[in-house]
Amino acid sequence: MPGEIMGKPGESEGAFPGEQRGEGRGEAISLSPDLSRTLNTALDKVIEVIGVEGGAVRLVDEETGELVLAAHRGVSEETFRQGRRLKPGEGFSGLVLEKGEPMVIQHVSMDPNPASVLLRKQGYESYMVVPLRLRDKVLGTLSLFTTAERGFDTYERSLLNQVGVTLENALLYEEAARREREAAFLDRATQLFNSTLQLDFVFELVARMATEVLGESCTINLIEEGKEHLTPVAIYHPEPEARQLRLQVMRDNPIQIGDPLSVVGQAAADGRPYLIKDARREGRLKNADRLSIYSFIAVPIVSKGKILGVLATSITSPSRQFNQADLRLAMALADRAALAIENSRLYEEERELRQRMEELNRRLAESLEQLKLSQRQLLQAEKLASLGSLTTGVAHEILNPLAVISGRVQLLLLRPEVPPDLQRVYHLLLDQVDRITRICDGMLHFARQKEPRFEPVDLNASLVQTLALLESELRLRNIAVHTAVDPELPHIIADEGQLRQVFLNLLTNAMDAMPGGGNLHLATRRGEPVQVVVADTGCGIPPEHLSKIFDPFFSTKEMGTGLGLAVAHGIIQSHEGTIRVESPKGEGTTVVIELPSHT
Amino acid sequence: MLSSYPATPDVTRGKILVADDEAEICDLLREFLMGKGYEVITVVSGEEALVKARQERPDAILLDVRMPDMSGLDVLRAIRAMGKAVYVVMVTALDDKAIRQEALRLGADDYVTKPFRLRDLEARLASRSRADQAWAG
Repeated sequence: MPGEIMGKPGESEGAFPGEQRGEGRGEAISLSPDLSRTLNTALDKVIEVIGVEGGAVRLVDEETGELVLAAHRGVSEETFRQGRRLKPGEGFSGLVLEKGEPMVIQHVSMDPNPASVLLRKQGYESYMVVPLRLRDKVLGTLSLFTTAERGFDTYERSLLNQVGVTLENALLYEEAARREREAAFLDRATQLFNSTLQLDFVFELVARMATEVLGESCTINLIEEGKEHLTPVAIYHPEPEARQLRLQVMRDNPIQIGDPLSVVGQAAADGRPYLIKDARREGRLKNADRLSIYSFIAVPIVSKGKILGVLATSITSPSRQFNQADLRLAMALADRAALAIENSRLYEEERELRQRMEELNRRLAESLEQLKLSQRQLLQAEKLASLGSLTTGVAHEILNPLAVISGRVQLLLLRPEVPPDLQRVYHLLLDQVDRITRICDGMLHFARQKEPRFEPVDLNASLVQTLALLESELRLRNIAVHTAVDPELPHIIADEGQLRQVFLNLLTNAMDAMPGGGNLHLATRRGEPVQVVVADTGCGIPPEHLSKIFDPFFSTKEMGTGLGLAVAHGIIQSHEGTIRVESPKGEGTTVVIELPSHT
Repeated sequence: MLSSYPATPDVTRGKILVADDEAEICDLLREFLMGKGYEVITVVSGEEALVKARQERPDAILLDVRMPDMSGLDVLRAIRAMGKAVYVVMVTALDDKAIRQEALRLGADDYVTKPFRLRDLEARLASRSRADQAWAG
């Protein structure tokens, strides 16, 4: 019945001009083991119920729209040698797919195409092809082969439809189950990604998860700002040797972004997903042979329209191929990875920002402290400056009348027979004049403070020699001196005269703080800055006075000028050093001077 | 202002010129030194000091450094420029190392700061007298 033979003989099933199919196993649509089992079982049932001897199921490859052989019974593998893939309209199954109507071929002997010849060789006389539908969509075709030269009656046809529904249900179930598996997987991925913000760990996770559901190996390459090549950040393969080999390949051949010879490079440049079902046949992968890649997926990791990198996964055995569903899953995984990377980056940025803020705050606090300090110093300097300009004149005006008073009192004392009580008063007057004189001398010293004259100074010698000036006085006051000078203290560049003045002031203060005797500790320490420490076990300084001790004219001594520490402070400052005074309650007073060893 | 007291006949004690713009200082020193047997001339300006130093040929001059018209240092410089070897003691409220050095460089024989001890001042003048006598002897 030639009229029933449809399609052009030359383009019937299996006609893929110029294509070498090899064994064809790799071209089977990739089915889950469950679906494969379901299809085979369903096919067996159909064959049994209808009473035929063979059958085949073809499913539509979503990517190409072609029919791909999914299961067969009762016919040799060879029958489909040239008909494993059929375009719509190609061969009988293709026609059924296109029209959506069943077709019956009663006499295969009338059909000259190779598949029919092969069927005939296996004793088949007739066959029938029905579409498998899922709602309005044709998912595939079911072919039944019989050795009897007969048609299929109406009952059989309706039965076939029933069976078709069963298969459809199986497919539907399979689809639902797959979606559920994918959803569960993606949920788990999301959870895992959310569990860490450490980028390295995120990459590792993504790569591992990809190998659980996609290919055997997975790599993640990232685009780094200003770099032409991708940076591999994760490589996973369950076998260490294979992982090592991939690592080596990636190190030796960094992928250039946009490299036309690299699918990953392409994906990094155009942000599109790539599915290479049959790497051997398509020949688009440079390292397909070396890395034994049979099927390959590369998907961009995109966040907010920006390509961050590329996730690639490969199947390393010929047993199966990636399909559109795998590609969608890979894309979904890449999306979640992008989110995780984005989160991690945001977190990193936020942490850096927080650190910068803290650093800024710290510096602000420092500057504020510095400002306060310089303000105090400025105030001090102002006091000193105004003091300086005034002093010479004021001192002169004071000292001249003082000389008159002093002289007159002395003249009175020279008189014969001055009563003793008057003598006491005269001497008291002279003492007070001396006191005023000392204050004026101190003021004059300020007024004349000049730039220090710097030369190498042996601080130990200066300190010890200054101490020697006070030796008899210290002995008299029952003060024990303990010196711990650093024998290897380097010479520092300083004005020795001024430093001696400082030491003298400090030693005098210490002495005055211990009217009932005590211990005086002197120490020097090498380092940058060098340190000089003068400590006493005296009465100490009340906390409320500590802030004022460097102020000119601040004194608690009955005969003090209030200039000792002010002078010391000025001198140490002009040496770019620091002087601080500590006086913990009941522990005397410690003065620490720090001087740069090279001024 | 110039005030001069009649010289006492004690020639060994000598004639002292006191120059200070503070009249009180002049009075004080005159009273003290006259009590000690010196002939005393006092002036209250640098200009006058220079004039009296030339006219009176004092044995010693107590010379204030800071005076309004002509400083003690200028007076000293002028006196030494005239070749006068008179004993000059600078008397000043300014205890300044630089001024002290400058005074000594200009030929001052001594330097005393205000307020001074009268005995100290007298001792310095006495040592001058002994030095003169030693040279004379």
